[in-house]
Amino acid sequence: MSETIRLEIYRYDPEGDAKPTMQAYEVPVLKPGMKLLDALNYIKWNLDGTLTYRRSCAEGVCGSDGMNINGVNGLACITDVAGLKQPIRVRPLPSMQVIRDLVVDTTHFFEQYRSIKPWLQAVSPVPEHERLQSVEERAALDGMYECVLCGCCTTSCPSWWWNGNRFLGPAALLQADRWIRDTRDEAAGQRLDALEDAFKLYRCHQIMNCMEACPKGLNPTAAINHIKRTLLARKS
Amino acid sequence: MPAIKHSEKNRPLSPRLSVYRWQIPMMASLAHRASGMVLALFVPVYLFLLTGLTNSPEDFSRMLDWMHAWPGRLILWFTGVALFYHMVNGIRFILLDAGWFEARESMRITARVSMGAGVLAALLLGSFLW
Repeated sequence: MSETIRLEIYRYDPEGDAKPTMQAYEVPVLKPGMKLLDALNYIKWNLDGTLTYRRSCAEGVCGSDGMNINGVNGLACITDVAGLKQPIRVRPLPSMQVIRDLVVDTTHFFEQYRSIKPWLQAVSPVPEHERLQSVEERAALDGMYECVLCGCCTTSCPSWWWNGNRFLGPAALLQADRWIRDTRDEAAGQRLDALEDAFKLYRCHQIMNCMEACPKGLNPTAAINHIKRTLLARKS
Repeated sequence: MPAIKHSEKNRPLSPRLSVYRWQIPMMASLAHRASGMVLALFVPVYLFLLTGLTNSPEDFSRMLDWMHAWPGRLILWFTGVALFYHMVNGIRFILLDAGWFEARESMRITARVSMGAGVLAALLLGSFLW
């Protein structure tokens, strides 16, 4: 294995007073189809144990290793090293408080998710078996249920960068639309009432960075537009 | 026990606009807002021109000279391109609002079409004015 991969990684140590810096590393190509997470793991296990990042499943399901890779957000575990321009510049998700290196504080992100009440709300009596859906009703949730809440979309959104305290951001709004579309849910009216707000919903200016960033190939912009149309249809 | 800083105030904000790679839909959206701003800023210029042109025959020819000199032409070119781009991309945004072109690839393609139309308008209007 003579080939090497060059990386530049954002480093920040909260225990020192130094400002964040970019640190260069070189990693050998370990295997065909090597992912960026493999390179980070190699650094942590062989070169520099202080490098800190989140990871868990390593197959794009847990949503832990969202980061900014060569300027675009993505999951390190499903991003091929082969297609990336070198040196691969790895930074934490944008516009977030950095705890250490690539680990950011996601408290506000998950508070926003919580605010859309991401659970089934129904007042009708619980049937003897499951609340059933037709195949078509279930298919309406395709492209929404796959979201792993990695935060790649929300932290790619300039509207959220400038107004993140009030604009809910693509991830929370995609999830809101997921529950509005769910035929088993009976709280669509209240959900829409809560979203009809100049900031919570209407700060979306169709920049579409969320769609470009989503590692699962989803389209939060389209979901936000669907919420807007549902609100409009309710009025007319 | 080692002293660990928990103060959130000390935490740096991760870089955003300075590092985010420009995407075509992002540019299309930014250009839409910028062209809208140009159009709004043109309104006072337009009113200034209108009063100038209707004031007196001398003022009329003075304004005519100004509009045919390079600052006037530049403003006309800039506003014309902004008007055309804002219209084309505005139609795109209305169609998206109505639920058309919602697939990821369609969003990318329509952004390219808007931007391409804007560049074409800039070239055509430029060759017409100069």
